[in-house]
Amino acid sequence: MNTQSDKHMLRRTLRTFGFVLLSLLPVLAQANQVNLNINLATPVMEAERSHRAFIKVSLEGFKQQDKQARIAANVAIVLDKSGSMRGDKIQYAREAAIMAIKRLDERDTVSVVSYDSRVQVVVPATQVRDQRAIYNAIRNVQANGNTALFAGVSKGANELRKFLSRNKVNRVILLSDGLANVGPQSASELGELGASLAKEGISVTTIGLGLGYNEDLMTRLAGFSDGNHAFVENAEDLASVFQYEFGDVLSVVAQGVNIEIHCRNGVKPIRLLGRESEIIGNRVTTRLNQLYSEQEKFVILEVEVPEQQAETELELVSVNVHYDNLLTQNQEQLAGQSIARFSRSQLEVKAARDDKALEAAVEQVANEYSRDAIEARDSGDLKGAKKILQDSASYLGSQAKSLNSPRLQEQEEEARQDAQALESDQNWNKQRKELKARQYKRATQQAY
Amino acid sequence: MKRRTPLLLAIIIALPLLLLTWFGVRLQLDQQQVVAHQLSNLVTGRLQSIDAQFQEHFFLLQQRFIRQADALQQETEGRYTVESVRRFIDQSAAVKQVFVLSATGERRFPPSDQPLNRQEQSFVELTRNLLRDPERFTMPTSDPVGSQGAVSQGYSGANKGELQSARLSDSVSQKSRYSANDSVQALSESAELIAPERPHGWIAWYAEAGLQQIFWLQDNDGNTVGFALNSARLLSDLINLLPSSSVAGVDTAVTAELEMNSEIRLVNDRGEVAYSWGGALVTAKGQKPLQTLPLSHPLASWRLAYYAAELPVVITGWLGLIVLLVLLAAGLSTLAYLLYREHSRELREAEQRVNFVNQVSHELKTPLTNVRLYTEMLEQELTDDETVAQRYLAVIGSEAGRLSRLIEHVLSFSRSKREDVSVRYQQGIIDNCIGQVVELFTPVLSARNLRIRFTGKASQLCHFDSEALEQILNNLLSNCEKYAAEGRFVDISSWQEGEADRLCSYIRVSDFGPGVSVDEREKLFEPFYRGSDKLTEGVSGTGIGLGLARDLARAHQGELAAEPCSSEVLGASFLLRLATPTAMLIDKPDRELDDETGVL
Repeated sequence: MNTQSDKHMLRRTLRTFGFVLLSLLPVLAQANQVNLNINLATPVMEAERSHRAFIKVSLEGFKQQDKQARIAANVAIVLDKSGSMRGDKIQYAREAAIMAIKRLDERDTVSVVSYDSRVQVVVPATQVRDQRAIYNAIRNVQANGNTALFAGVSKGANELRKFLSRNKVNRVILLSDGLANVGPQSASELGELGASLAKEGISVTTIGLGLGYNEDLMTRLAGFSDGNHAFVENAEDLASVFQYEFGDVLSVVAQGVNIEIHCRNGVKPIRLLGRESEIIGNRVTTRLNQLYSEQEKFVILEVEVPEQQAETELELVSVNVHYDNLLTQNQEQLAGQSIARFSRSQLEVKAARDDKALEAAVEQVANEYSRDAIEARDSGDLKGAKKILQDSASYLGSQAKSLNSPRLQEQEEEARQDAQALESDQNWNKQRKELKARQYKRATQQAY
Repeated sequence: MKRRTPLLLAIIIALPLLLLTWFGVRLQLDQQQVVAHQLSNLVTGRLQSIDAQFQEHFFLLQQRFIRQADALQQETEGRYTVESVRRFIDQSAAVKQVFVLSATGERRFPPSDQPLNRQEQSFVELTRNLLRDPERFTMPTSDPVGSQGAVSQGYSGANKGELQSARLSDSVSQKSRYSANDSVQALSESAELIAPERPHGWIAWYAEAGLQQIFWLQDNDGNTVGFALNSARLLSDLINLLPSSSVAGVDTAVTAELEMNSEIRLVNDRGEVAYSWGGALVTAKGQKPLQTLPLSHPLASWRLAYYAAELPVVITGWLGLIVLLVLLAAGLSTLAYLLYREHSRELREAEQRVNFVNQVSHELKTPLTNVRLYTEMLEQELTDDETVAQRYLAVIGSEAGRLSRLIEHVLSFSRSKREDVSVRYQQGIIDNCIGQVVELFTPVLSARNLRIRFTGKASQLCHFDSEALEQILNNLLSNCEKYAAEGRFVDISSWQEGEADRLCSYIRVSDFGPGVSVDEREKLFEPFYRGSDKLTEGVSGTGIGLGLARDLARAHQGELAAEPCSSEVLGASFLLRLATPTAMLIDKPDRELDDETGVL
C-alpha cells in the first residue's frame, strides 16, 4: 500500500514536474524567438452581414539578452557634401557620424562615402579598429559641388558588399540636404535601387537635412529597402538622429522577415496598410528587412468578410512568417491564424472588441488619409486635401472617444493642425517633409 | 654707314631668332600632335577598357542567368510554376522581372490565367509589343566579350571587385535553390558548355523613358526565358565598376596620371550624365568632350565621354620654347649692343681724328698761303746775281707747294668723305697736263736723284678734269719720291684708246723701287693704310693719297690700279685709266668758250 502510494506520489510529482517543465519550455524558447501576434480588431462580428475587418499582424523582436552579444553591424555612412552642406551642416554631419561610429567596435565594419558631383570613398569598408584614422578621414570631408546621390548610395552599398553577410546588420545611412542632380534623380529610380538592395539584405536609412531635399525620393528609397527615414530641420539634431539610428542598428535581432497572409473561406483582402505589399488573389505578402530588440512592428490588413450564420466560427486568415534569427543564425518560421466568431448580440460584439488592435488600425487608416491629402495637395486640390485631413481628424476623434485612446486624440490634433497649416504656401515645403517623415514613421513603426 | 650698322645688328639678332622660332614652333606643333595622338590612343584605350569591363559585367550576368534559368527549369521540371518564378524574382537583386514564353509564343509567366501583382501587371503593359513577336528571341546576337583577357591589366583590381561582387551576390542568394555553390571559374565553364547549344541574347529596348535590358535564353523545350534587368540596379553595378573620384592612394599610376586632369562621364541614352569621375572639375558647360565612345550592345546609345581640363604637357613645351627664345633674344641683343657700342666708339674716334686733322689743315692753310705769296714776291724782287738766295728761295717755294698739296689732300679727302667727289670737265690735252706736273716735280725728284722719263702719246683734244688728273699724278709721284728714291728713274707713259663710242686715256707711272707685294696691292688704296713697316720706316705720310687718287679716278669714270710685278715692271707700277670724251666743239659752244679761256 505504502509502496503503491509512494509510487503514486512519485508519478504524480514527476508528472507535475514534467508539466511545469513543458509549460516553461515555450517561455524559454520564446526568449530567443520573435513573437507573432495576430489580432482581429473585432473578434466577434455581427452575423448575417458582410464586414470590413482589420487584422493586425504584429511581430516583436525578442530581448537582446546581453548587450555584448549583439549582432555585428555592417554600416556605410553616405554623406552629402554638396555645396549646400557648407558651413555648420557639414560640420555637424561629420561630428554626428563620428559620434555614431564611437558606438561601434571591432565586430563591426564601417565605411564612409561622400559625394558631391563625384563620389569619394572616404573610408573604405574596414573593421572598426583604428577609430582615430576613421575620424580623421571623416574630418577631412569638405563641402562643395553638386549632388550625385544615386552614385553615392551605389558606392556605399558596394562598400557594404565587401563584408555583406546575412548574419550582420547591413545598412546604408544616407544623409542628404539637396536634390539629386547628377545621375538618376527620380523617386522611382531610387526606389528601384532600394528594392534591389533589399533583396540583398541591405536597407537604406535616409536622413533628410533642411528643407532642400526630395522627401519623396528619400522615403521611397528607405521604404523599398525598409530602412528608417528622418526629417532633420536643424543640423544640431543630426547627432541625436544618428544616435537613434545606430541604436536601432545595434539592436537588430532578426532580418529578412517575410510575412505571408492567406485569406481563407472567401475572405477577400482589400489592402495592407502601411507597407509595400503584394496582393495576388487571396494571398498577401510583405517583407520587413529587420526586427529590433523589444520593438513591435506590425501590419494592418483590411479584409472583407462575407456574411455568416450566427454562432459560427470562421478562420479568416492564416499567417506564415519566415525570418533569419540573427542570434541563433537560423532561418525560423512562425505560423498563426485569425478566427472570428459571429454573433447576433451587439453587446458581445462590443465586449470582444480588441481596442489595441483597433487603435493601431485607426492610426494606419488615418495615416493613409494623410498620404491621400498630400497627393491631393500636390495635384493642386487644396480644398480636397483639407477636406481629407478634416475627415481624417473627425474619424480619429470619434474613434478616440469610443476607444478612449489618448494616442488617437493626439493624432487627431495633429491632423487638425495639418489641415490648418495646409493653406499656407510658404510652409508647405517644410510641412510636406514633416508629414512625409511622420507618415513614414507611423507606417513602419519607426522607433524614433 | 651709321644706319647700316644697327640694321645689320638687327638682322643678326632677328635671323637666328626667326629660324629658331620657326623650328621651335614646328617641333612643338609636331610634338603636340604626337602627344595629342598618344593621348587620344590612351584615352581610347581607357574608354575601351571600361566598355570591356561593362561587357564583362554583362557576360557574368549572362552566365549567371543561364545557370539560373537551367536551375529554374530543372526545379520546376520545365513547367515554370508561378510560385517558383516569383520566389526567384524575390531573391534576385539584379532582376526586375522574368518572363517565360512557350515554344508557340504564348506567355507562361507572368501567368495569363492567374491574377498578377502590380509589378507583373506593369511589366506586361510595358512589354506587350515586345512579347507579341517572339521572332525577336530567335536571332542570337553576339555575346558580350568574355572574361579572358579582354580587360586591360590596370583594371584587374576593379575586375576582381566585380567578380567578388558577383560571387557575393551568389552567396547572398545561396539560400535559394537556384544558385549552385560552384566558384566563378566553374560557373564560366559550365556556361561555356551551355552557351553554344542554346540560342540566347541581349535585347535593349526603350521603356519608361529609358533603356531597359533583357537577357533571353531558349531552354531545351523551346521555351524562351527572359530576364529583365532592374535598370537602376544595373546602373548602380556599373557605377561600382567605375572608380570613385579619390580613394586615397589606391589607383594605379597609369590611371592616376590619365585621370588627374580629366573627367570621364558615363552618359545615358537621354544624354544625362549618369556618373562622372576623375580629378578635374570640368565646369564649362559648352565644353566639348575630347573623345566619346559609344558603348557596346546592350548598352548601345549610352556613351562614355572624356573631358580634359587642359593639356599641361603641351603648355610646358610652349613655355620652354618661349623661354628659350627670350633668353636667346636677350643674349643676342646684349651682344649686338656691345658690338654696336664698340663700333660706334671707334667710328667716333676716327671722326674726331679726321676733324682734328681738318681743322689743323685749315689753320695751316692761311699762313702757308702767305708764305708762298711772300716767297714769290721775294723771288721777283731778287736780282739775277743773287743765285744762292734764289736757290734757297726755290727750295722754300717748292717745299711750301708740297705742304699746300698735302693740306689740299687732307682737305679734299675729308671733303670726299663728306660728299661725293665731283669732277669738273674742261677741254684740254692730257700730255700738256702731265707735262706741267712733271715740270713741277722735276726739282723735287732731282733733289733725291730721281729722273722722270716721260713718253706722251695722248695728245688728242678731250674733256677731262685737269685738277683731278694733277692731283692723281701728284700723289703717285710723291709716293715715288718717298718710297722709290733708289730706283733712279720714274717712267711715265700716256696713251689714248678709242673704245666703241668713247675715248679712254691711259697713264702709267712706274718706278724701280722695292715694289708692292701681291697682298698689299689692294690694301694700298684703303684710307690710312700704309705699306710695310720696313718700307715706311722714317718716311712721313698720311696714308690717304692713293685712296683719294682712286676715288678721283673712279669719279672720272676711270680706274686706278696697281699693276702686278712682271719682267718689265721692276718696282711699283700704277695704271690710271680715265674716260675722256673727245671735245665736240660744235655740240657745246658755251663749254668751248669757257675751256678756251681756261687754256689761255
